[in-house]
Amino acid sequence: MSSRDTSPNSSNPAAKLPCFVVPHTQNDRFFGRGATLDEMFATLAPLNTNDAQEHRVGLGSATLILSGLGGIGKTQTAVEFVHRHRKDYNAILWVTADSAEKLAQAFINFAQELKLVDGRPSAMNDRTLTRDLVLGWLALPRYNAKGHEHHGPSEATWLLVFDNVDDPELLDGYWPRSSVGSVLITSRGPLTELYYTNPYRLPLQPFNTEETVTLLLELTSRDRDAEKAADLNTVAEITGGFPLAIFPFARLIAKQHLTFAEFARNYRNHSTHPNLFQRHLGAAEAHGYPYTLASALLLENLEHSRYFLEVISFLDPDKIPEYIVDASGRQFDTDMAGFPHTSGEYQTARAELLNCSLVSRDRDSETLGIHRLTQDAVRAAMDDERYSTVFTSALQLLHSSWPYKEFSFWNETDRWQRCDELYPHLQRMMKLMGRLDPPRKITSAHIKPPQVVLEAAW
Amino acid sequence: MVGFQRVIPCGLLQRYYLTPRDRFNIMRARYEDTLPFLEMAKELCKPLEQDHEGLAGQDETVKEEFEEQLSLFHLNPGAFGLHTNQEDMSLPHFKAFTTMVQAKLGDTPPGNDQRMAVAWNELGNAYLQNKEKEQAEKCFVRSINALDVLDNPDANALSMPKINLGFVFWLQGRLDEAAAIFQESLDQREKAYGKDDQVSFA
Repeated sequence: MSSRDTSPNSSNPAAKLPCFVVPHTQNDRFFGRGATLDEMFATLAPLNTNDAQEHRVGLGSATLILSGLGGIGKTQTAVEFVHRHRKDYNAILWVTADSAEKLAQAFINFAQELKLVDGRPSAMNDRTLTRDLVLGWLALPRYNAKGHEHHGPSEATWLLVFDNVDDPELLDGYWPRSSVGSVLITSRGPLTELYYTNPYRLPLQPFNTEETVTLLLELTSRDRDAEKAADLNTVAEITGGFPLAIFPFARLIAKQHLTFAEFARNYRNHSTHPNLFQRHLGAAEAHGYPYTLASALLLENLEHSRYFLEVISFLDPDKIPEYIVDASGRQFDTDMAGFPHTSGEYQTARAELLNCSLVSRDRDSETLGIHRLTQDAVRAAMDDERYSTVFTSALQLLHSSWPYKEFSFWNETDRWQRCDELYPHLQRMMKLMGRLDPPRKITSAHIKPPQVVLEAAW
Repeated sequence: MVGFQRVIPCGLLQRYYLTPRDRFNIMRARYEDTLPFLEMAKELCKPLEQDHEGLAGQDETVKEEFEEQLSLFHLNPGAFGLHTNQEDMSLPHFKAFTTMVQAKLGDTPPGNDQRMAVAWNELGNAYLQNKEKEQAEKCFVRSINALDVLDNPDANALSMPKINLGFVFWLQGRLDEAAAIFQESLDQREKAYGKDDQVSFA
């Protein structure tokens, strides 16, 4: 937090209200999210100033963090929220908070729109001055009475939106010290390190099956009664309820006049995935999603965890015991250069994936989870050589986790629990054999890992 | 033990095989996955078989591991055939497996290597599945003998061919001999593991 004093005082200027600074228009085809929007408003609803002072002293502004995987619709939901509640706040200020530059420019803009600065260019573009004026006003949000008759509470209500926060440290210096306003943050991660507030955290979930089916029918202009429910549910399951998958897949179905059953059949052929996941989203852009699914997941931005994520994309997604992928202290036959090999590297990689919601973690059972669609997108981004390399790495990790015993009748039950934990992951890998180009040259690296498959067969 | 699906009364079969705890793929009765897993392993291993030059350049440990893997391509489908009533599948695979193990071990002192005993036992099961009781009996006896020469044969391993030998006696109407060997196995297990042990599903 900045040490600069932004506490309210009577010299703070009054603002020109109402003020609505949001760089996104309302999406007239916004779909669903009713319960989420209600939950958001329950937390972020503006309080009467007196109430606010009574109830929020010491707590700071009402803060909600809307988190979730890239492409799940956080920004779109926030956009819908501010437009629906435009009249509930005297001021709504939106900043895309993924860089210091954007934050600075946005606060300059806020100061100008709120008429907190005079018309001198030097003042209007002074980053420090404008930021302090805006923060000062947020702390004591007075009305500008000139030409604006106001009969309500003496202080204005406001909502500040920090959209797309990746690095919460960027918010230092821009965080409002106030007990009256509301702050909405969107972020891929839960921002557990955000220390200067006690926020309400709302993870944005994918659409449920019924919502996904409804959206698929709408986007493909198909009639529910003419479709088989099982086919619709299958395609809904493939999309995982992710808007960024629903839109391009629906567009493809419509454009190529596919039945839902045909699309599901095509999708099962994994060789179609690279093309599918790199599709420009066309219709999705019209709904406010200017990315491909792969780019929305920001895979290319992963510094420490790309290889780790790639390996996880070959395992059963629901319950991945961490002892499989925590390679610290283990020796491998295969070359796994770049894979986290120490505890520190493992924890760093895991944190990176958790912070952008690409994986989830159950601390009690020490297992990881990942969405199937994320796995599909990650594998689709690999060329064939990389696919084989990562496949072998995943098999190697399972091999080195398997509780081997000396050759015997192998009917003892003492190792079955561990085998049962590993078994679904071998089943998953079996399904992913299709794209694999098996090694032709014999090395110890290629001999040992398949042992685990033979053991699973027994 | 394996190989008796057609001769043990249904209720006994279910109690014997299908308690929930008692399964792990073949061992866990997940037969639908067995052949696909074998195919997967073959896809991963078989191309390597053609790389004779590469194999020649490996050290002895690697070569042995590879040979052992190849032998499992007979052991596993053999066991699969036993458990799924495919007698034409089990016998040739177990014959091949037994031959491979014999060739591999030769006259080497076995130490605690149970491979030869396992091979004879499974071959005995395959013969029994094919209704060749005398051949089966010989194999189970050879399995018991192969275990007897180990440095430290455990009670669980020892009980496997003995139980199967007991079944052959029973099927041949030699009930006293069957009862005696069953009793011997039970005594051995109880002495080693206590009453009603769950060390294995035998």
